[in-house]
Amino acid sequence: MSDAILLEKELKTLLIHHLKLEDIKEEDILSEAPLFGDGLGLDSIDALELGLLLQTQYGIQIQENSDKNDQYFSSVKALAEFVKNNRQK
Amino acid sequence: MSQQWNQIPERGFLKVNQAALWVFRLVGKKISSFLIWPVLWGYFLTDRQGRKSAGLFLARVHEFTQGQNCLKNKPGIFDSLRLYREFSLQILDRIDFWLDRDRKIKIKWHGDEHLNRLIEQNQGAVFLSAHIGNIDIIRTYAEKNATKNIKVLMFTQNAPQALGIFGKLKLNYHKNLYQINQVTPNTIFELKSMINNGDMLGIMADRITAGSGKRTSRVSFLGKSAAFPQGPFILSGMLECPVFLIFGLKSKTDEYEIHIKPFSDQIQFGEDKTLEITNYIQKYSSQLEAFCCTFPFQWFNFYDFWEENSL
Repeated sequence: MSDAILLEKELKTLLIHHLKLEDIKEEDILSEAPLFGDGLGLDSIDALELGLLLQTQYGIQIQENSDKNDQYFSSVKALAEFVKNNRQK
Repeated sequence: MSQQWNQIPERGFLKVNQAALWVFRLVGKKISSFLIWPVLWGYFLTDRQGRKSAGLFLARVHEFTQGQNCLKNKPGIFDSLRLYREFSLQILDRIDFWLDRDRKIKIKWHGDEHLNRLIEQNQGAVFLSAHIGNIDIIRTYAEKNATKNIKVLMFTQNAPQALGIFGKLKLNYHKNLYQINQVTPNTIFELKSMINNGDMLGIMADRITAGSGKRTSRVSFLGKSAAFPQGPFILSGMLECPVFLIFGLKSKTDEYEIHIKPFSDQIQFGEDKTLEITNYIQKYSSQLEAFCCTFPFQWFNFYDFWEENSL
């Protein structure tokens, strides 16, 4: 299994655990599906939690007012790419 | 929920706001407060839902206090009207503040030592409030007098509309409103940096919104179960800072009391997060309740607060 896929799996497990996504299994989350809104259906509180999670888990502090933010959080796949390139730990 | 508060058009009040503002500018506050009567009656008579919910609220207060507060008798239609009247008078006070003619309005502080200490220690904090009394008085006062930034977080959908009108009239209405249109994972860091900077963040914690989704808790409020949003409490926890309650209530003509009460040194959640959030909300509700009993005519949530099917 490639590193990218492993990281995606890891992120899915983290999301399920930290955002308390009940009744959702790791394999239920599609890597390409949107995190917010229609896809995984995360809400604004989840968004805030996710921000904190990236900081504690990977030492990433998201840049304020970056236009690319939306893109990073568009799907698990995009998020994994973002984590790969920006992780401090 | 048949009709959610944020879907209830603030049409009426916006119009009252707007009309009051122009009349105010023309004839001043004293005459305005008489002239506002017909507008008030007109609105009161046509706003069936608001009228009903005002009546329900006053009845709940009366039941809860068993006539021990200022509502000695079973509230009737004139009591509901008084609530509307109070609302319109407070709009005039707000305009007074906005137009910088506020020298006549006196502020009496209760618990300002908490605020002073926070400022002294450059400690940021969250201030939870509710739609009771006049939060704008606090906001405007803070804007003019405080050395620290006091920002009021705003997620509501009605806000842009209100801002539109006041923006046009070139009033400094939204100077210290911190509007968040879209919450992103980045938002938490913006808010945290404000708190770290020693800023005060005001959050309304009484109304559920469309965005509350499943994140609501039903707790006892004036003796009956009502839904409150969890968001403000979860957010306060994430910000890892002291939390206070703040209410600005009118004590008499041209006089307001600002109450600041410590709520929690830091909101923390353990294993059973949902239960703990609900406990915090119950604590908030109980304190809010106490203010409702003392100032029943300043409750400005014109919808059925106890609505059964509210999410």
